[in-house]
Amino acid sequence: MSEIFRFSLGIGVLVYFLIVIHLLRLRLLDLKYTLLWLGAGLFMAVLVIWPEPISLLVNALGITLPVNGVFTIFIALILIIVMTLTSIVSMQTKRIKRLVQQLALLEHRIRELEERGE
Amino acid sequence: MKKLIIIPAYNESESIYHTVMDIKEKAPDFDYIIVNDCSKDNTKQILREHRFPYLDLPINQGIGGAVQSGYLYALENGYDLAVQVDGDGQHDPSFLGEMVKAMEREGADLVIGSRFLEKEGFQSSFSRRLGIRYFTFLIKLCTGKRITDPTSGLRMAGKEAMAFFAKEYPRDYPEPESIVDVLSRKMKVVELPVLMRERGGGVSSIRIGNSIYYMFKVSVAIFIARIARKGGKANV
Repeated sequence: MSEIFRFSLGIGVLVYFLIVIHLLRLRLLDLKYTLLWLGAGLFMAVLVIWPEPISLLVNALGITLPVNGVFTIFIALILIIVMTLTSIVSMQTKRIKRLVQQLALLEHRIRELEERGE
Repeated sequence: MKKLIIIPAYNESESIYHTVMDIKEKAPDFDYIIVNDCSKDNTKQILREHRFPYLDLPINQGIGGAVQSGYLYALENGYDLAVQVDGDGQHDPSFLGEMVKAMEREGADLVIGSRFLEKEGFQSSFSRRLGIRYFTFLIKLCTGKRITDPTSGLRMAGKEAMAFFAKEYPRDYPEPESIVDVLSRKMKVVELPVLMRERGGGVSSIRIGNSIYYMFKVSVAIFIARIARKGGKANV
């Protein structure tokens, strides 16, 4: 990995952290779901500061250009994050469904009680 | 014994009144509840005018979510069994008595009204029958049990199946998938021959455009239902 590439990557990671932390400060992100983003950022930071072990790993995987290794790792991180988001959305869909159903049951009971009271 | 009919209704203003009247006449010993799945037509006004008992879902939850609300209602109100009858008049309530008997006689958890056991009444179009055959094959492959009409919406659930459905029921095209769910939990499913009519109004949820999606989704769902961890983490 060339020094220039490492440098620009470092700037990128820094900006990334600033954005995540800014959003956290504004309470726009739930920390629970942001831990994954912070983890990914840390991983990228390690990659910039101390690239040798990762270069070795990338070589062992048969990727000759280190930069391709970086891309591969980033894509993997993004895939994990997106997958996690999908699972969160699925869970929330289920929860919303249950809420809607309970709401309908309650509304029915209220209507029943009102009619009885009339 | 407390028995409940669940009538899912989405834009059924043309037929809901007749469906309910039919039920009152032919299955008077059943209670019934209509689940209005956020209909865009005046289904709700009709329900209110006639003072039919109904649940009103404020956000559309699909046929599965609507039916599940009915099972929740059944569970909370201590019903011994609950049966789904479509709001469009396809299902003849005069078969419900027989279904109850079959359930008691066979000790079944789920009784399905099948169009194809005796091949009488409205038999659906050729392409649909082909699709249904395919699901029959797939379910047989996954569970070893032959279900002749896996897409039938006329289904009666006993207490155990009811509690399970209240917890876990697919959102779209739930019928074949939930049969596999029930079978893989070692519950007993039996079929009973029934006559079905052509729908009185409204449109089927399955059209040509989405039939490929339907086949694909349900096929995957059946396999997943087979390998799903029982109980799972899905307890939201």
